[in-house]
Amino acid sequence: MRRFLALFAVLMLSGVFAFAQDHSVKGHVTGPDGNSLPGITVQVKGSNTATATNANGQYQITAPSNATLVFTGVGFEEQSINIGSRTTLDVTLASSTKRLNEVVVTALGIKRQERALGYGTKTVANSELTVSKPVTIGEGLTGKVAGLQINTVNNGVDPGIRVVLRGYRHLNADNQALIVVDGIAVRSNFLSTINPNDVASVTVLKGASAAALYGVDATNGVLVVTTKRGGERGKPVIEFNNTTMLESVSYMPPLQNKYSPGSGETGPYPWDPNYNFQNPYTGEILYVPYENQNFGMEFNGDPNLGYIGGPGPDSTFFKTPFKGINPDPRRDFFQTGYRIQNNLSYSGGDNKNSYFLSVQDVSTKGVVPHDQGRRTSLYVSGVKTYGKFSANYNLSYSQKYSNTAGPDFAQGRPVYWNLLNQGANIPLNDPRLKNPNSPYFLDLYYNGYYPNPWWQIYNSRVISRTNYFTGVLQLNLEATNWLNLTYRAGTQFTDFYNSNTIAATGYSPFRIADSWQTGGTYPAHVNGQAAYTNANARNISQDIIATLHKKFGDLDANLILGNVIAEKPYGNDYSSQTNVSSDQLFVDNFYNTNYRIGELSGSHYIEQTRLMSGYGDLTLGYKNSLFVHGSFRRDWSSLLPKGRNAYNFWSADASWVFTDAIKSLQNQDLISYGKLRVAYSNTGDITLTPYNIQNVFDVPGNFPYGSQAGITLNPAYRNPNLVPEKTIEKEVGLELGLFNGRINLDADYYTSLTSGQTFPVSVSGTTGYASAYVNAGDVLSQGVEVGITATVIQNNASRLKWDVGGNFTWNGSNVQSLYQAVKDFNIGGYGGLTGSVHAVVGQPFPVIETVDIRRDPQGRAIIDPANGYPVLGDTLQIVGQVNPKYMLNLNTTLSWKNFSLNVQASYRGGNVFYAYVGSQLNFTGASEFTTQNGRQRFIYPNSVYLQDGKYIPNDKYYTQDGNANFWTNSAYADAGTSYIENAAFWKIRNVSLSYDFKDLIQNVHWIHGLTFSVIGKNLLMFRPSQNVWTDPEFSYTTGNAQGITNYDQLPPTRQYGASVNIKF
Amino acid sequence: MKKLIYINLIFATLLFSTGCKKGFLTDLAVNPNQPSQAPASLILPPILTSYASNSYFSSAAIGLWMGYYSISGGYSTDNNSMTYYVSAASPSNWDNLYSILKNAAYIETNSASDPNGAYSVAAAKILKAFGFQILVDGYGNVPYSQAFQGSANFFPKYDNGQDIYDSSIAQLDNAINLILNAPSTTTNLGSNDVMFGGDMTQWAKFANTLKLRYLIRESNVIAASAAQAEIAKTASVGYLTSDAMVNPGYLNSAAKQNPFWASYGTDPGGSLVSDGYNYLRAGGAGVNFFQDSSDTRLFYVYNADNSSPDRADFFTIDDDFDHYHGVYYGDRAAATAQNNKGTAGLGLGVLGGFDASVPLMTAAESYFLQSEAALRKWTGDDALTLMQNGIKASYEFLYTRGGKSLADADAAADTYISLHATVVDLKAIITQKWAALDGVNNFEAWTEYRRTGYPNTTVLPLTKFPGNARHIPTKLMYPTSEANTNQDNYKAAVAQGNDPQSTKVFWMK
Repeated sequence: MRRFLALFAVLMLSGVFAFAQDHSVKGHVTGPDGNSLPGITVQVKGSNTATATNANGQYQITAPSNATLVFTGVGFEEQSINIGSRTTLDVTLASSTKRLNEVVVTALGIKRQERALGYGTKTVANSELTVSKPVTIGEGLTGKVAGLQINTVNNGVDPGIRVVLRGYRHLNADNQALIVVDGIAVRSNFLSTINPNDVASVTVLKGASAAALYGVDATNGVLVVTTKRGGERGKPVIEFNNTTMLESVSYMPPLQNKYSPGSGETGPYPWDPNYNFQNPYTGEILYVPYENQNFGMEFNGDPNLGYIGGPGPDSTFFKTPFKGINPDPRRDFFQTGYRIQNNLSYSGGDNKNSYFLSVQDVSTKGVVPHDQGRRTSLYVSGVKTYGKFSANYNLSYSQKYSNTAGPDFAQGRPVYWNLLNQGANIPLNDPRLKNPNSPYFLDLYYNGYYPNPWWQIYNSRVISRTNYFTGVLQLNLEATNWLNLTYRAGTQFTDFYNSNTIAATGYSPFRIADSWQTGGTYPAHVNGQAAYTNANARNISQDIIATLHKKFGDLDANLILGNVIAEKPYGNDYSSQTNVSSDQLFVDNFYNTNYRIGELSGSHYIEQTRLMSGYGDLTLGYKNSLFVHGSFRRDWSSLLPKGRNAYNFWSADASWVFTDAIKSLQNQDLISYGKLRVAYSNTGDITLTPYNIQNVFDVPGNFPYGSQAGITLNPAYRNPNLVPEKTIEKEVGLELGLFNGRINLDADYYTSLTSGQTFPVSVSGTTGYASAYVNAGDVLSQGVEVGITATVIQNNASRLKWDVGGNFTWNGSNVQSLYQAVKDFNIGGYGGLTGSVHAVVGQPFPVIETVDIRRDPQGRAIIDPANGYPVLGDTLQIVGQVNPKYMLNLNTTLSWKNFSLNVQASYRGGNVFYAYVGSQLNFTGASEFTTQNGRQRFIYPNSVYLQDGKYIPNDKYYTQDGNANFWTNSAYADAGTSYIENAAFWKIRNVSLSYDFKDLIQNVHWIHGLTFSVIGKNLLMFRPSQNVWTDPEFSYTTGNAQGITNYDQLPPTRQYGASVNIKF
Repeated sequence: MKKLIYINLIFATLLFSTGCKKGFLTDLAVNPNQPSQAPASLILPPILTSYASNSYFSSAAIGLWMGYYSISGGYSTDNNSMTYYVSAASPSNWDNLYSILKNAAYIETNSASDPNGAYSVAAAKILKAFGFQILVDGYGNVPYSQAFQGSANFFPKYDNGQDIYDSSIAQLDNAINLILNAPSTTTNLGSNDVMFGGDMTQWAKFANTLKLRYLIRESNVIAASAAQAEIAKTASVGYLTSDAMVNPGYLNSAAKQNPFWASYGTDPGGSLVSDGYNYLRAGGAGVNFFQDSSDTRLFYVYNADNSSPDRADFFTIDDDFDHYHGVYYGDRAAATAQNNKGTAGLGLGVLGGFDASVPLMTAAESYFLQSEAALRKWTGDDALTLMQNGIKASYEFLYTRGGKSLADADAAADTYISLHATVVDLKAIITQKWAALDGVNNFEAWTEYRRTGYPNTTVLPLTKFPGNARHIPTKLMYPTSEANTNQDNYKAAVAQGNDPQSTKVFWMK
């Protein structure tokens, strides 16, 4: 029947086309990554007319109008398209899931067959990267690769990003992956600088084996970013994209709006003796209208209390109803921000020469009023071919700008902190508080202890501007059919400027005299402050690579020899930073440090490093099904002293495509593709920062005394005997294509042992030093990574397709030893946490250590019967690991006709984090959490008391206070564990629904593509109910001391908007 | 694989030989931000200034034990600080001293090869002996011979206090010889010597006085003949007759004031450092000792009561004995009753001013040491005269810092001496020394108390804190950091005694 129908259709069409005129159709065929596809068969359906694309993916064929062209090629899915009356038809083919001959960009830009790789990699193509129109490629990569953890550690207009592959291995050094763009290493913050639309693909080299050719920088894995080249299809293509997203706070910690400001003060109102609203028994004032804490009486609308702060000099009050404002004024303070991306690209070229140009502008308005950011970038790339010689280049320039609210003048606190110290009855958006000219803006601002958050919005600004310039030139010579020579030179310049200016301010005599008797201090004048930082950095690297390729019967040999002279890529081969600041500017609103009293503070730092290496890389392929690969590299580094600055690194791996090698497995559908792989590598890392092999002298803090100079030995001992750290990684993997490629599975197991780490251990002061750099400490990391993609539904007739993908990562780390008897090493911490982040022998790395309340053997809280409060423990305890043990990402695309719906979700779990905001909100009494017992005395839950040597369940000792005293002064408030939360979450990271107007425009010659999408990001997040505070992905640092969040991160936000893409 | 390596190496070597200059890598190992070499002349000033700032000399805790101070009733305190409790928690003093000594050791080693570096080496040796005496006197056995070896030894063993004493005395002799026999081309320390301004005669005297302090300290455990022989070796050098004081050029700006003025005087803006000045009040033992003998040094060691009458200008000399009150150590009831208003604070003679020099060793102490040596017949000098000279030097030190003339000081001293210092014995010498060290060197006063038992409990009663069972400590406890970083050696040292109430330093009877 079907056959009959097909025949019928052909007959029908023939009938129609009998009158149609044949005409020439040409076009360009590209793969999903945007690369040209040579050798694709193009056939006019129902005829014998056929051609193939040339080396640049171009084809030309003569076909009747309204004919259907069928595009087929090994490794790609067949595609049929009705040409209508078009004379140009560009086609993008989807990968066939059989994965026969995919080419992957591996270390140092070397292209290798996917099937030959013996280690774990994953390539994310542009289409996948930009599906949700991210502003940064860090955002675009999040959740797409098993084993890759990308954290956006903050929000705001230019958030920090942290990129880690396969967990942590370095105790004291950076654990972030190396980022390589077109062969040159760049700083990790470049991930948030480069325009994702300019990226052709990102290959993730997950482990040290894959990255071994990067020598000393291989251990953390590598993200290899390849930028776009021209379209190569003769005619220029202009593409324009606009994505406009709105951003708003998705949730804040639940804030109470039931209880008024107060902190348990006693004694009559100093200024209002006639209305003593006090507890007659305790003398406690029930509403203290200048308090930052919120432990006062319940709001009840009492008109006598309808004011905030004290009376002004004219004895009038700032009147406001005595009730919590709805919507909450603290949340309402945040505005709806936006991100507008405009992207224009122009590309084209012919067989030998191509070009690609793009301009992008990203304009951001933050959720904090007046916060704004902008990123403008220009990108040019091209290819030129002259016979056997070709040149390939790209240049990019981008400028990143941000202008955000800085710290306040009084305590240097951020906006969020000051916001959380305001009461629920404070109309923060009232013009009287918001207008800088209003007396209530600062001088008569109600709060006795923390300034109006609007003050710093207007008066404290942090402006930063970074210019990036990147250039890469690659020259290629096809010397013979077996020898290819490549020379590559690349550079990146970064120029960074940052200023933080805080306006001069002061109070009137009325407030200086503390007329409201708050006990606060109100200076008559605080001088203006200005701090400036200028930094610049430069990377230069050059590579010379010779590739030898020869076939010997069934044996295919590929040898690569190379040499690199480069920077140490964690930083720069040259960088300098100059800081200048003064907090004593005497001309108001004039921020030049020349106009100051007192001394100028300043510092200058420069750093320069070099790295040279020679490497070789040999791949042997047997019958295109068994591959053995080895690489060797020797590095010479300026970071270590002469004689011990050269080190060898090597790796070996094998890949076996058993579905091709074993006869019985060939050409069957159940297991259509199967590959086993195994890899071993011995790599190292010089994690030492520059200049750590010689002892140095400092200028002590008190020197110089006028003209009397003096210097003293730095307390950290620089060990001249250090050697690089060593990482042994072993990896096995399995790749399967099932049911003729409908389901694909990729699984890895790896272990990696990093030993002889360089870190400063505390040493006895009797050595004359406080710490010394040593080689010590072993960290074992192991994990499982599983990636799966499945086409659940594919119905070509109804153009319905449903793809489901997912990846799962388990990473377990264990500190096996530290140094000698040292069992515990402090990685770093934050002042708000009692305790810090540690490496502890026998534990995952890193863990948080903090103080808990005292507990009986069953874990119940031991209370003090005298006051009913729990008792604070006296030792630091390990409370959990800070990196997720499990990560699961799900990604699904449902397409029907021209609609396509993509949803991406992530789970992370098995770790904990510290929410300093929780501690602060309980302290201020602003959290709903503090109202759980109605601010009344209560029995501490799950508590016991000690009686006659036994722990008796507590059913009678009520806390002596359920209000301010408990929440600010008890062991519960002091214990770090009270704010340690389970960091697990599920996030719907991205949802995008797009419509392709290809049907509409198929007869419009000058438009080649038009799509429209609606996009939502971080629309939903599910957390354990205990974590009411914030997003556990946040962190106060991008360093190793993860797991701590504070009020420097804004509340989590969600984004939603639309995108339009048009191609000419 | 091996062949591959060779090919690669040849390839790489070719490239390097053409592309790279010598020093392409090694030149970058030199730190452009911080120097890795430094001349002795630049290291010396921070050594001296750090000794001056080191809280040992004016340690508040030791000042409390010695009856010089009390804690204001206006501040809450724990019982421990009222009952001779010694905590092992803070390593800061220990680490500070070793860090200073490391710098001195650096000069000693690095200037040895400098043909003109004799004075630097001598100064370094003297300053090492100075610091190690404090360490041994404070803690007993401490790391000495294996200290400062860097990666060669991160776990220095603890040496016997006696051995460190012997070695230090030899090093002082050594330093004196270096100074006396230095070639004429030797570099003068000049103004970088922020103690003596490059006057090497003073350095030799300082070394010799320090040596006398070492010998006197050992008086209970060494033979008189041995001490006599040691004294004779360097007798020609003489002893300090003026104060050995450090002043790098203290300035009236943050972190650059005289360190004690910065803690207990006024801030650069001229406001009283309230939490320092008002926290540490005069001790009953100190105030009463001066009052009982109408000793006018009272007006300089202490500042009159805050309410005498309510003072606006704190640092002026008030010569009314009735305006001074102190509270005995541990007498919290009295402290609370008097509060700040009824008690005296630290005086101008002790604090000096923001730019006042800090004494490492006073002429007064030098005379008291010489007086005791004479008393012990180690020398043929007159013990009484020397003791009286010590008292006079103490008057001069305090009066001149209080803005008075030397003549005024001498007149007041003569009056006092004629009435209260006409007989010499060990009790008199040490009691006078205790009075002269009040606020000047609390640590030395405590150390001499441990050696001699003077001043006795009539002058210096034990803590008045009810129910106290402890007595004046006999040593400081090793810091807990040693337990973590130098475990085995720490354990061995602790096994020999680390109890501040019972373990005796080797020179104690």
